[in-house]
Amino acid sequence: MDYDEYKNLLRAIKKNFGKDLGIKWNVPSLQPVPDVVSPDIIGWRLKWAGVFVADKHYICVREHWQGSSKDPISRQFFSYHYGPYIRLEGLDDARWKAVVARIDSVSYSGRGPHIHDNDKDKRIFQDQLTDPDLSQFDIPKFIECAIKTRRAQTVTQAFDLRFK
Amino acid sequence: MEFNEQPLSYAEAVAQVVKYERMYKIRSEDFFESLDKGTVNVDVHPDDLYEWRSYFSFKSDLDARLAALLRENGDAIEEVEYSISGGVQPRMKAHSAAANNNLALAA
Repeated sequence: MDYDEYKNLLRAIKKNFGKDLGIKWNVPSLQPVPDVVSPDIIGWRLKWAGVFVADKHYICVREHWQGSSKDPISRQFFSYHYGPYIRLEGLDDARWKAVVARIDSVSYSGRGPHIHDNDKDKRIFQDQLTDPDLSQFDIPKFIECAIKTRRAQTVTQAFDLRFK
Repeated sequence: MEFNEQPLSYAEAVAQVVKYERMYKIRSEDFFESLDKGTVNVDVHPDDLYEWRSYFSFKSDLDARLAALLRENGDAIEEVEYSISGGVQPRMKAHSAAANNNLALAA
């Protein structure tokens, strides 16, 4: 995917997952990363928050896209967060204190990505699950699952977690 | 649709990496290696972990690209000083006009 295609993807997300669901999206923060030895960009970073003003919850998505001299630019890692907020300002950059659901692609001890279930310290790792493949989540899929938790489903139900 | 687009410079990536290394008092290489091995004993907030890893990944890539270019040009980096307790900027010494030009680009 190139940078312009990515921006179109964000436009589509805002259009498809917006007011109808009660989400008010902030302006996405995009950081293209210029190469130091060529006029190209080697990747980009995204931080983007959308709020459910009605009950002070928000979604914050962060993605890191990077290529290499051999491989085209692709998503390397991400974090998708859904939970309550206290202050509306600076949500894109804020460190979260409370969580309903959050997927982090970071792998601890080679255990794969993990999902937080209502607690900063409660991590369910990929190696505890048969399904779904957390690394394959994208922003639309995460939003759909987050919406399910707003409709009284547990994280296990909403994300259809299948334990070994 | 509006976007807030601000390119990430090499200097900012370095500054951010140094910030997290100072905050958690560990070198990036050591931290991420211990994270992979499961021997990490530093409690890093998940948001910090994400940001740190992102900046470090870009910094490492840009370092590698610069080093590759210098090698192709027949130049060599003579000395690299990089310290979490030192200044914000990494200090790199290279001895050729081409190398200096490239470093200026990076900054």
